[in-house]
Amino acid sequence: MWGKEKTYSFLENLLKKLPFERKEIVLLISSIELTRFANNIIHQNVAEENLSIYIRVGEGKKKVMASISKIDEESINNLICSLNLIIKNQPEGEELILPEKKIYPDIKNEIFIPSPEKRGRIVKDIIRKGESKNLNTYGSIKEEIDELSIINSYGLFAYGTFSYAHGKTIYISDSSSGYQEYAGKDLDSIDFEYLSEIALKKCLEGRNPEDLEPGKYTVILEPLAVAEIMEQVSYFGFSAKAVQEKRSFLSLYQEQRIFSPLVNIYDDGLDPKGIIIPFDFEGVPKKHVDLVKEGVVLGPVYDTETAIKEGKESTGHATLPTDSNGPLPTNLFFLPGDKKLEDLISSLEKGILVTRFHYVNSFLDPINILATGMTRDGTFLIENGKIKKPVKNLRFTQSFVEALKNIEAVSSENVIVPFLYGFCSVPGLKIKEFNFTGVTEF
Amino acid sequence: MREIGKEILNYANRLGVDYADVRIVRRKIEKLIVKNGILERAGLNETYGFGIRILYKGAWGFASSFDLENFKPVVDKAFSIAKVTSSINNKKIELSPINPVKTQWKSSFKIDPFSISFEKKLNILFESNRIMREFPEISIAISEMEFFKEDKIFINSEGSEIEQSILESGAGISAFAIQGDNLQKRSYPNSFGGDYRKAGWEFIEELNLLENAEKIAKEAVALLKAEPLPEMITTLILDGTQLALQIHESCGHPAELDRVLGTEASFAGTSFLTLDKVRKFQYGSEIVNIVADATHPYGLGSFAYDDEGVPAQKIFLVKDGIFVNYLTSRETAKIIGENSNGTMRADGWNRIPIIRMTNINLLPGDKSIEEIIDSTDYGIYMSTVKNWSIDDKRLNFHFGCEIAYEIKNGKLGKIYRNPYYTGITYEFWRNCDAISDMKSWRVWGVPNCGKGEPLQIARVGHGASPARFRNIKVGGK
Repeated sequence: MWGKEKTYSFLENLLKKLPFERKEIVLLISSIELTRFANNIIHQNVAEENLSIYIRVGEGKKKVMASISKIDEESINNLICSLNLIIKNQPEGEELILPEKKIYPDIKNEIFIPSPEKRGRIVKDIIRKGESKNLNTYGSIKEEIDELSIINSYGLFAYGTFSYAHGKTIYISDSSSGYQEYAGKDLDSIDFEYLSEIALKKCLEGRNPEDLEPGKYTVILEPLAVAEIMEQVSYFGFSAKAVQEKRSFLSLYQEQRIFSPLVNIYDDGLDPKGIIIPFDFEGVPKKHVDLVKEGVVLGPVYDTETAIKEGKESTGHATLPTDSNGPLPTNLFFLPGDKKLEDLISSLEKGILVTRFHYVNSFLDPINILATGMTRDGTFLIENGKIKKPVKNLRFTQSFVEALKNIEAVSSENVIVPFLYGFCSVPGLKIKEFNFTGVTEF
Repeated sequence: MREIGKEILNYANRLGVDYADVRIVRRKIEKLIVKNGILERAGLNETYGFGIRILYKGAWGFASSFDLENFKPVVDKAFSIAKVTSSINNKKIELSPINPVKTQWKSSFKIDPFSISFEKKLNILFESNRIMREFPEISIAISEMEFFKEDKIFINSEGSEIEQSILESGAGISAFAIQGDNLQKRSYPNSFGGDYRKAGWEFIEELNLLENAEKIAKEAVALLKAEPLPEMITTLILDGTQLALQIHESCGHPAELDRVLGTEASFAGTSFLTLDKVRKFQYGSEIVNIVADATHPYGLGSFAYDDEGVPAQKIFLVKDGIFVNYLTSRETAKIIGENSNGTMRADGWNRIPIIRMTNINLLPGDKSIEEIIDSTDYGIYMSTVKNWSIDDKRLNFHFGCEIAYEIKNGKLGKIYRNPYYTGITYEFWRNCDAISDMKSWRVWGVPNCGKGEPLQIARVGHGASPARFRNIKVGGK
């Protein structure tokens, strides 16, 4: 950690060295530690210290971006030469548009010190639980601290620190697996006892799964499966760049009620229920953005470039300068309902309970978000309001636009998991006519 | 780099480690993207740093940093992590032996792409982009190029000192036609960035982007009016680009021994190719031969030594249809009583080496692609990756392509939009009845293979020529 003073002094000096009309520097210093375990031992235990500088400069209608991890004078001078060369040798195109100076909310995120010892103790307890049932234990525990600062030639300077922890566990028997994961502001905010208990229960109840014919079923999706849906919907749908290029469903249905009225989704980097990230990678403060309200699609999220094209203001959702996807949601909240997940199950005559999805991909038909993927780590047949038996994993081929139309109930539980560049907080969902198109052997 | 590397290693040795290796890596990437006539991205990316891996009392610790001058706390960190790990684990890690080596290696190229003027590069990108946009229905046209240079040194406590220098070049174009909710895309020479090789500027010239821009734009427009492929069980011919993905997902990943042993279980999954199957399992038909070849002259998965100092090798994964080998590391090879076949690679200096595909190549057959199509009464020909999904043991897959052509009486005809095919890995490969010959065989570069936690992106290669499969479920949207 450099601290605000050292960071400002470094960035201010570097900004002065850049001989360009418009310029922006993003400095990201991150410390990541991760303990991975498999077959009841720790097999990977790593710590990394990263420093990345992203520079965007513009002259007239020309622009260029560069990034570097070396900050000695020679490296910086070489980089400036390269930037000059690329600026001079390109035809006129678009201006580099940067945000004006901003005012930031006073947010002080508590930063922890990563501890391999603490992670080790947690892993030991998780493994012991699996061994008591003769199961093999797998998973990972991650701690990450980021120090992000942005300066630009309009006088903008943003500085913030963020940290989070993320834990996941999977127990595997000879015929089943059970999984759970949570993210939190630190390791203490994650209930690993509860997390491992859920994963263990899934694994034990999932033994000896039976075949089930594919077809259309009502599904109860647990929050981890819903997070996968939200990731696809956000990536393909909620970016202003995707909307402007007409490759998002939002460009067809803006302000229309196309989803179930039970769907309420917003993005808010300042919501204390999540992990607070107060500004984006351009230094623009995060705004509350309603993405779906009572089934009506709103949004999208903007960065400065996409906002200017529509005469609007950025909503604070710029991604790293190296990312070509444009703005994306980073702190997404799907509002919970008032019934527990178990009530959703007990209300279902026949259907499927899905713990989570695996390898979901919607590139075949991105506007309708026609996704295909697999169920994983606990799939169960529900009959007459009760879990009847575990079933082998199924492949689905389902438009997520249609799926959000077909929501019949939203659960009251909300789980926070990593998502795109940030986090999402999601409930469980009951969805009718979910289309399963294939099966696998386990 | 060598001197500082030795200094880091000496410091680690003085701490009392059982084994240590140090990698110092310098990477430079130049990326140019022209989108709809605008230079959307002109980017340079350079990273430099080191990673140290320590084995202590049978347990691993790894730490990495951009700060080479201040390396001692990083080495201390790796050592303290290894100590914590060893205090918890009740099993000890052992490594299969290797011979120490001191050597240098450079990948081959003719023209250094970093010496080519931006003007020349941009001319190709802007002109190919202009040609695609001649068609009013094309609403997004993307032309892109990427050049990758990596210099790295590997030094370990067993006496190895290996310096390697890698240069890779790639380019591609894509045309998108959009009407309402119908989005159609055609790409050349492959989707998601094009094709990549261990080569220089000469490869970009060979690709002939300008000569192919009109064709793909026309096809994207034609696909807007095409029908979705009807669902059926039929004969399927896949082109090389799609077969490269099929090999990647259904052979390369499941043959990684770390996956088989469970160390990726909590993320990407495990594998159906369990230890009992090696040298017994009928993976494909008798004509299916798949090798892992890290020695190929231009494949993205080629090198002289892997990131554990093991020499590059060429081994069969599938021989005459039988699954015969895994991709291994020193640690995993020891578990199955073998020596490493050299597939450990790390994504830069800050990540730990893990088992990665090298060039996983389906060996060519003896018939030309024309003969294979001629001898197909009815079937579907699919080209170019559009979407992909496979289960966590790599059995049930569902892959979509940009375009499908009907084959009737040995001739390609009507086109279909949004085609996909689906199946179970070994059933699919057992239904392979023809593989085209060397004339249509090439190694495709895949620069974006994700695996591991924290996520690592590997650059791998897949040699393939078009092949035919019987009784495959296909469909479209």
